Parts: sequence; C-alpha cells; structure tokens
Amino acid sequence: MKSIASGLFLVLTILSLFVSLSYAADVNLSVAASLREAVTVLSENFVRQNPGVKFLNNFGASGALAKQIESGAPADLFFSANLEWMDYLKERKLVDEKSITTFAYNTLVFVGKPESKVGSLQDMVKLERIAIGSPKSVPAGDYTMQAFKKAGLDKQLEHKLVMAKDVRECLLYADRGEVDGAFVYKTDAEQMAKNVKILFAVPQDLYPRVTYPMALTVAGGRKAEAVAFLKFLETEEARAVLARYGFVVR
Amino acid sequence: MGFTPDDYSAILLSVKVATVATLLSLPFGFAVAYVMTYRRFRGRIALDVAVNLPLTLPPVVIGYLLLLLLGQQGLIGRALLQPLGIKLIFTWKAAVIATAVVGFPLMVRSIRTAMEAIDERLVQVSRLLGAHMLDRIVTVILPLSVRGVIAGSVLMFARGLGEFGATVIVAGNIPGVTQTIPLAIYEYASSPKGDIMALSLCAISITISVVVLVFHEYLGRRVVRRD
Amino acid sequence: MELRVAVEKRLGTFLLNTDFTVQGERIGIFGPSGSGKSTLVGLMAGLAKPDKGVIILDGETLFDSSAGINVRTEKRRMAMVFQRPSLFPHLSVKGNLLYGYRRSAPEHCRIAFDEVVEVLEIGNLL
Repeated sequence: MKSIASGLFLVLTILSLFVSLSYAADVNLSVAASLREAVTVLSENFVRQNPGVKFLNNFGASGALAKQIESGAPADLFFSANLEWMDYLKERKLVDEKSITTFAYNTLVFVGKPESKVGSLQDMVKLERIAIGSPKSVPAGDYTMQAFKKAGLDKQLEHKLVMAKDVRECLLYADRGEVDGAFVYKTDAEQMAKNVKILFAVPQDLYPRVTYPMALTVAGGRKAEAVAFLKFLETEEARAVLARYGFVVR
Repeated sequence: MGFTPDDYSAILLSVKVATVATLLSLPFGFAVAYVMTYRRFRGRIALDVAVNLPLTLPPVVIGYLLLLLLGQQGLIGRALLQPLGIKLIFTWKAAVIATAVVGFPLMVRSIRTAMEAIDERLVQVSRLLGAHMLDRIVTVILPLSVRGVIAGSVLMFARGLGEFGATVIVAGNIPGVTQTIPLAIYEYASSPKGDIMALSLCAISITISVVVLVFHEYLGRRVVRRD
Repeated sequence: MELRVAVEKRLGTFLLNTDFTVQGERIGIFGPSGSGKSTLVGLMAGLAKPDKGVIILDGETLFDSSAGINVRTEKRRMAMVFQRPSLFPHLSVKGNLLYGYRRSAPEHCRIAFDEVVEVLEIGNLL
C-alpha cells in the first residue's frame, strides 16, 4: 500500500514538473507587422540570456491581432502600430492597464537620390514628382499630408504627389528614379536599396507622434517570463537594438 | 454627390486620356488594317501577332514592359528620351500611351473586319477608273469601312475609360494629373470609409459608357452619301 | 489600235499561255467556259500580273517581265465592265457616273456628261 502510494506520488510529481516546465516557458507575442524584425531579434537576445524560454510570435495587422485577442487567442504581450488598437483592448479590459508603455516611436523621413540638394520640407516645391502612401489607406501617407498642411505647403504640392498603395511601393518608385523622392518611415528607409538615402527628417511638430504601445495581456500578467521580457524591452540594450532598426526610443 | 476637386479631375482626365488615345491610334490603326488587308509581304504573320499581343497579355504586364522601355533606365528611355529631356513616366502622356497600346488591337480588328467585307471588285473598278492608292483609300475604302472605324473607336474609347493595370504602372496614381476614374475608385475602395465615393464614381463611369454606346448606335444608323 | 499580248500565267493547275497580235477597232475574244478569257482581260487591265511575257498597246509597253516594266492599273486607262454590276454603294448615281470622268485629263474627256444623261434619259435619277 505504502509503496503504491509513494510510487503514485513520485509519478505525479514528475508529471507536474513536466507540465509546469512546458507551460511556464512559452511566451506568446502578438506583434504588429512593421515591428517584425526588431521584435524577433529582441526575443532571440532574451532567449540567449534566459534559456528555456520559448517565444511563439504572431505577426499581423494591429487591428486583426486585437480582434484575435478579443476572441480568446493566446497572447501574453501585445505590440500595436498605433494607440487606437491598444485603447480598443484596454476598454475591453483585455490588457493590464498598468503595464501599457511605449515600445518605440517612428518618424517620417524623405528619401531620394544621394546627389539631390534637397534638405527640408520647403524644398519639396522645387521637385516635380514626390511619392507618398495614399493618405486614404496608408497611415504614413496620412501623416505626411498632415505635415504638408501644417507647413502650409499642401496647395503648392498638388499635382506633384504620386500615390502609392504602401510604403514599399514608395521606395520602389524612388529607387527606380521615377520620382524625385518619397516620404516613408525611418524604419522602412533603413531597409531600402542602393540608389536612395535619407535626405532629411520631417519636423516632429508638424505631425502626430507615431507611437507603438506595448502591454501585457491579462494572461500575460500572470506569467513571470512575459513580465520579465517586458522589463527587458525597457533596458538600454533593447533600446540599442530598436535604434539600429531606425526606431526612436525616447 | 459630394465629389472633391480631385474626383472631378479624375472624370475629366479619364475622358481626355481615352479620347486622345483613340484619336492618336486612328491613323495608325487604319494604316495597319489597310496593310494587313491589301498587302502581301514577308513578316505579315509577325505583324499580326504583334498587333494582337496586347489583347492576350494582362494589362499589368503591358504596363511593366512599357516601363522597361520608356523609363529612366529603359531602352528607349536611355537612348532617346533622357537626352532629349523628355519624361514620360508618371505623366498623362504615359496614361495615353498605355491606353493606346491596350486598345490598339481592338481598333485594328474592327477596321480590318470592315475592310475585308468590302467587295474586291469595287476596289478594282476604282483602279480601272484611274484612282491611285491614296485616292482609293479616301474615296472608296474609307467610306465603305467607316462603320468599322467608328466601332473600333468606340470600343477603344470604352476600353480606355476602364484602363487600370497598365496605366497605374507607367502613369502612377497622381491626383489631378494621372488619376483616372478607375484609379480613383481603387483608392477609395482600399480605404476604410470610401465605399460611397467609390460607388458614386462607378455610377459616373457607367453613365459615360452608356452615353458613348448610344452615340455609337446613332452614328451607325446614319447613311453616308456623297457625290 | 494594235495590241500585242504574249504572256504566261499559272493559276493552280490552270496554265494560260498565249501569244497574239491584233489590229482593229473592235476585237472580240471567244472561247469555252474556263478557257481563260476573264484571266486574260484581267492581265491586260493590270489587275493580275503575268508570270512572264509582254503586253504592248499602241506601241506603249504596259508589261514586260524581262525589262521589269509593269504599269499600274490606274495608269493604263483601260475601262472594264464586269459581268455583275459593280456600282459604288456609297456614291450617288451622279457620283458613280463622274468617278472616272473626274480622274481623267481634259483631253481624254471626249463625251460630255450632259450628253450621256440625255441619251440614256436618266435625268430623273440624278
């Protein structure tokens, strides 16, 4: 009797060990697509320092991810490309409000041919063709138009603007030389090709800050590794990685 | 309807591009149809294939090929356009070229069908009565194939109003400059609250097409009589 | 009028091979169906081209394969009436009547338009 009881106890202990091992070490991240490369590298760095932790990363459009979390998809941390979708989950009490912080900021820059003499927004009126994302569907394009309006340049730039369906297309036009330059996020410019370079940054006072908030979900708040990862992302080391990809961290 | 100035531009631009493309293609289309109907020469099949190619290619492919040809780094671009300082890509002229290329086979086919239906004997009679080539073309072949010319023009114009794939690549989406109705609709359709505007522009597009078709019917019923 | 025709023309399995010289004001060519009468007339008018040979009318060479001469139909000034009516459907009666007239030099217009209309009594058709 005693041997059977102690045998069972042993088995159960071992089983529970296994169970808690596999449960505790998996961290589910829901990440906006534009943060893909940066978050992948950061999670890899974290794993190197904390072996045994395993990241399951889910990339997509912020809105789609938020809806998934609302439907019960497993997520411990949520990284959004704008404040709107973080607020969406906050209202529905699906994220730990106290854990919401800013992961990074992005900025608008103008890219063009290296030999171009363009150095500021005012110089845009001298150009013939400028590519921006279509303001109706591309947030970066929307911000660019807002900057034009605030600088009082929108009327003069009418008929010069080539609408692209996404930032990648903007870069393509600039790369091929079919336009004199393009407005993109700094992070997109970092990944671009040979023929163009960043010529200037759009003054931040002309458009709203492009903010990427992050937060623990209710489930994530209970997971030690998730909380640890969030803390890790606020370290200088993590910020250095973000800066390398072109994000602004203050 | 709540159209913006850009929307009005799109409508005017669509009509302008389609009209210019059709008018520009008319002489070439007529010439090609004439040569295909009345002349025997080596490379006839090659010409036939070349003229009909745009019909079978996806417009995006045509656009891309035009870009390769006419762009800054393109064959013609580097050799001819850049030295002369001519920029075609991302201008309304590129929209015209794209529309013309895409619609050209439609025009040639229509005219050819009409020309081939002309009784050969009539052309022979005109020759016997002393009419040289240009004379024959103007006094016999053109009048007797005018139905085909009109049909071809209407087809091409209608196709031009709806041109998107090739246009978006070589002319880009530039409101007020190259944004035609299809491009404007596409932009609205990709935006979260643009459905109503997209539908309004669709309605305009349909209206224009109906007008064009009615006009075509009217022209077709007139009998051409000359001394 | 003096007409010299010495031509050869192959059409599929049919071979027209002729050589003659005639003089006169009115000349008729007779022959069984399929013997090549229409073909011959077409060659003389220039609507078809002989494979080789010569066609000389009143001393003027209209065709000579060895010399590379081939006067175009519109310059040969040969009127031809077809078996089936070939009126221009897009021209009026007057337009049809005057088509050739308008393309002839004044010295070749020996018959006045009004005379023709009167003789044929087609004034009411104009």
